[in-house]
Amino acid sequence: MATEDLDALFSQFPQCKTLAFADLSTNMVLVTNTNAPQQRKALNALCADAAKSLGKPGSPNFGEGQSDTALIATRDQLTIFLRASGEPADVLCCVCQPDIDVSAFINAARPTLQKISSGS
Amino acid sequence: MDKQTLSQRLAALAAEDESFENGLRVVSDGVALSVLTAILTEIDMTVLPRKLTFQMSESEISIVVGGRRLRGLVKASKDIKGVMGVLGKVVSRDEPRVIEGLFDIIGQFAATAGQMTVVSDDPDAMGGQSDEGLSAQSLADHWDVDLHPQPPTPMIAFARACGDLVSAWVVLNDDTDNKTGGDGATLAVLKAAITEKWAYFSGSVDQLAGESGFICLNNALGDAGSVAILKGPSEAALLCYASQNMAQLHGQWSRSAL
Repeated sequence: MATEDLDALFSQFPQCKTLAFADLSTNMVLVTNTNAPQQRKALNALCADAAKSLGKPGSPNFGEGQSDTALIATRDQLTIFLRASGEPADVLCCVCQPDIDVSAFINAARPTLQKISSGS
Repeated sequence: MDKQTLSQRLAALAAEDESFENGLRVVSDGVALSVLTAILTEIDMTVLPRKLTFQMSESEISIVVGGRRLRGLVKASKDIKGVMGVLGKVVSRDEPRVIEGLFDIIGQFAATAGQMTVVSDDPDAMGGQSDEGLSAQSLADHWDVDLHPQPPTPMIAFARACGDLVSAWVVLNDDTDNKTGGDGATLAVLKAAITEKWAYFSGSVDQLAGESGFICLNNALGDAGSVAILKGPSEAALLCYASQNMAQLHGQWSRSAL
């Protein structure tokens, strides 16, 4: 089910390359979209980057607030991490091309994350 | 169109690196170059006796300048207080009250937000050849002003160009003192976060963004908002923004050369 949800989101955004649902409490990627090109090692690194930016639940790396969204941009790539509300260890890791419509993507990705996180 | 207006418009057409507003030369935007520094710079560039009229919004002051020296204040708009002891008086080291009064008058004038224009005319008072007055450098020393400020670094220029998108900012530089700007209360929260966590978090920023990149952390400062981090080879900028502006701020970075 989760893979289908990620594939559905993936199909809406051709600039998106990888979608991975991860658990920050175990530092593990639990599921990805079907065509995700990354190997296990790269997915583990992606999960580690989510922890470095968003911070572990209740333990922000910068500031006192718990971030629900992190965006990391270089000239070649855009990575977006979203944290589920209610389950702060559940995150969606998204590797995209730099020209993706950030607002539209986040507006579509957040409900997908909530759906997977809640198991509905 | 009179000769004065015509000459101003011709000067505007001839200039390459200067900006003009309604034919009047803009000497300060109130941000990149301070009003006081801009006035002192105009004094420093004026050799022949001239009356320089500076205008900003509804406020106006006119000074007579010559030989790269400020001779005195000859006119001020009604919103500026305390001109009686200064108006028409020659600026001199022997008249410290005039120097301080002038500093206060320019301070009131500078408090008017906006860009400042200047018009140069023949003086109708305090003109002629004279070595009266004080040089721009002497005034700068007296008023503790840097007459030749360094141009803003690319990160500082970016932070300023973000305008209302950014509520407060800090630029951390390897070589010089840190620069800051924006709302005082938000800036205090940002500075506290930097003091507490930047030494550790900057290592993560290096790993995430590489030598040059851009990171946004929505709501990282709690009630004070979100933080964006611009990473460059020798500078880093931390910008406070409202989370709903993240995509717009990212767009601003994407279009920049940082």
